[in-house]
Amino acid sequence: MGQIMEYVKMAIYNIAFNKGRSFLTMLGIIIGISSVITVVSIGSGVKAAILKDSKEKTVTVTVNQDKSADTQIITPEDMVLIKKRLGSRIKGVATTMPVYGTAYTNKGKFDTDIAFTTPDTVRDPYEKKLIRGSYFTEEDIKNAELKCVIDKEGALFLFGNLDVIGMNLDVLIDNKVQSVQIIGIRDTDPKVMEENQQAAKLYDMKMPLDFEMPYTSYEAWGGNVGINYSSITAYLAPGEKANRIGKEIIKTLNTLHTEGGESLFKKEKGMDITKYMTQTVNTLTTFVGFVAGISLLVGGIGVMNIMLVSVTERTREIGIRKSLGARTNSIVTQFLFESAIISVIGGMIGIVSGAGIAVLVSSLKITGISAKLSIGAVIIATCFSCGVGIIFGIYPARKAARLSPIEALRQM
Amino acid sequence: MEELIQIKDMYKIYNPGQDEVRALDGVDLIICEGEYVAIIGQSGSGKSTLMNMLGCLDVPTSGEYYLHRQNVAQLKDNELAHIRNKEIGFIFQGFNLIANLDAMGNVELPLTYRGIGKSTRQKIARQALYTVGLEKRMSHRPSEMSGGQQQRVAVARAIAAKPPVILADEPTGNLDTKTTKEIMTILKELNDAGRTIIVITHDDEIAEQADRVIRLQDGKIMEDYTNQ
Repeated sequence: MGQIMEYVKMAIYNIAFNKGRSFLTMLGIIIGISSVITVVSIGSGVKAAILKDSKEKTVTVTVNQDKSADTQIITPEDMVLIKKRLGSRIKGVATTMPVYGTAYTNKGKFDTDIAFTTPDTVRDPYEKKLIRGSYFTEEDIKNAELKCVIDKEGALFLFGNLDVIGMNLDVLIDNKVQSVQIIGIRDTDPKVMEENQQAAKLYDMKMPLDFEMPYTSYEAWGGNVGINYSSITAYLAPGEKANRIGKEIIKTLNTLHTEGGESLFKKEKGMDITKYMTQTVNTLTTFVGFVAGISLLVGGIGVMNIMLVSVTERTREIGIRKSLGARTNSIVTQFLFESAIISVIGGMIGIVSGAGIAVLVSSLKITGISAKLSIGAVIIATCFSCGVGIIFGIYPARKAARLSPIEALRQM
Repeated sequence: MEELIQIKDMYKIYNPGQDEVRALDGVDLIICEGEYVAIIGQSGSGKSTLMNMLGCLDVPTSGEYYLHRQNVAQLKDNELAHIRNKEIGFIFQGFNLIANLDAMGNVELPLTYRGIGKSTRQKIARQALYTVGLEKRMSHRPSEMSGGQQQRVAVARAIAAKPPVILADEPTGNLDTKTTKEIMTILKELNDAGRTIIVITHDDEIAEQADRVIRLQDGKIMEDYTNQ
C-alpha cells in the first residue's frame, strides 16, 4: 500500500512537471465530458419546458352542429353552474361573442374586433397579461358597464402613449355609436407588434384593434345579451386534465339542456402534441448524447495517444527505472495512475464547466431554453472519465512496463 | 576473499542458426568481494553483453550466473528487478538520470523501489550525495548540472542502496579529462572502502587503475591479469 502511494506520487509529480502536455491531454476529456453534461442538461431542460408548454391549459366545449339547428344555446346560467360544479378544478370559465365594429378618435376611424366576454377571460393562459389599469368585474357585468380593455399596440396606435386609462372612445356597431371607457391595457408581444407595423407599412393595411368588453354591455348597441353562446371555455387549474374537465362540463350542460340528447355538446379537440413532442425530444437527446459520447470516446483515445507518446518519449526513463529495480507492476501502476488522474481531473473540470455552460445558456434566455442538470449524466460522465483513464491507460502502461531494460536503455 | 560473482560456461547467442552471433562464447569468470575489475575489449567484443548479464538486465542463452551463490541466470522479470535493486548499482556512460527529478529525487529512486520510507530515504540519499561531494546541488535538476556533476549524481544513486556490486559502463566516456579523473578517484575511494567495482571500458588508462583487467575478444576471455 505504501508502495502504491509512492507510484501515485510519481504519477502526480510527472503530471505536474509536464503541465502543458497534461492540460492538453485533459482538454479532450474536458471537452467530451462538458459537452455531454451541457447537451444532456439542456436536453432535459428543453424537454421539461416543452412538456410544460404542450400540456393543455384550456378546454373548450361547443354545441354540436349536427344535433342542433340553433348553435347559440349556451347561457350565462350554464356558466354559473359549471363554475359551481367544478370549483377549484378550474381557474375560470369564459364565453365570448366576437363582434365587428368601428372605433372613432381624433385620429380618425379604425376597424375593431370587440370580444364581448366574461371577467374570467383575464385568466386566459394564452392571452398576454394586463399591464395597466384593471379588468372588468362581475359588478361591471351586472351593470352592463361600457368599459373596455385594449391591447398595448392598440393604445399606442390610437394615442401614442399608454396613459389612456379612463379615456373614452366612440364605438360604432350596427349604426349605433356608444362612448366606451378604457379601463385596462393588455401587453402585446413585441414581435407581433413589429410584424403588424411592417404589414401596415408594406400593404397600407391596418390591423384591426382588439377590445374586450363585458358581454352585457352589448345590449347598449341593441345586441341580444345573455342567451346565445355557441361555445364555452374553461381554464384548467394546474394538474387538471383537459379530457376529464371537458367531460364534466358536457355532463353539466346535459343536465340543463335535455332536448338534444347525449351528444348535443362536444369537446373541441385540443392540441395533443405532448406525446409527439416527448418522443421527438427524447430522440433528439439520445442523438445529441450519442454525438457527445463520441466526443468522449475521441477524448479517451486522445488520452491513450498522449500516454503512448509519453511512453515512447520516456522509454529511456522506463529503462532507467527498471535498471534501478522497478518491477513491471511498478511501471504499470505509475503510468496507469498518470492516465487515470489526468482523466479524473479532466472529468471534474468537464463536469463543472459543462454545468456552467448549461447554466449560462439557460441564463441567456434563448427562446426559453432552461437547463436542468441531470444527476444521471454527471454520474455517467464521472464513471466514463474514470473508465477512460483506466481502459485507455492500460495499453500504454503495459507497453511501457514490458519494455526490456536494455532495449529501453539503448533508446536515445 | 569471499566469492561474489561466478559465471560458468555462459553463452549469449543472437539469431541462432547460420547467421548466429555469439556475443558471449563460453565465458567462465569469478569475481570476489572487494575487487576492482576492468573489463576491456573493442566494440563488438561482447563486453556490453557481459555487462548486461552481470547487471541482470538480460538473461543468457545458456550457462549459469551465481550472485552471492544464488543462480540468477534464468530468473523471471520481477525477480531480476529485485536482484538489480538489491545487489547492483549502475553507472552508465550517458548518466541516465531522470530529467524530471532533482539530484535528490534521482538518488532516492532505487530506495523508493526497495520500499524505504521517505524520511529514511532522504537521509540515505543526502549521505550518498555528500560522499560524491554534491551536498550543495541536491535540489538541482540534471539540466542544471555539468556532465561531471551529473555523473557524480549517478554514482551517488549507484551507491545509495549499498549494493555489493557497482557496475560502471564506460563511466567516463562522455566526460573531459579533469572530470574523468574526479569520477575515477571516487570509484577508487569506493573500492578502498570495500565495494566491489566492475568497470567496462575501452580506455587503457582507465583499465590501468583497476586491480584486475579482463580482456574480451569475440565473446571469449582472452586475457585476465592483475595490474602491478
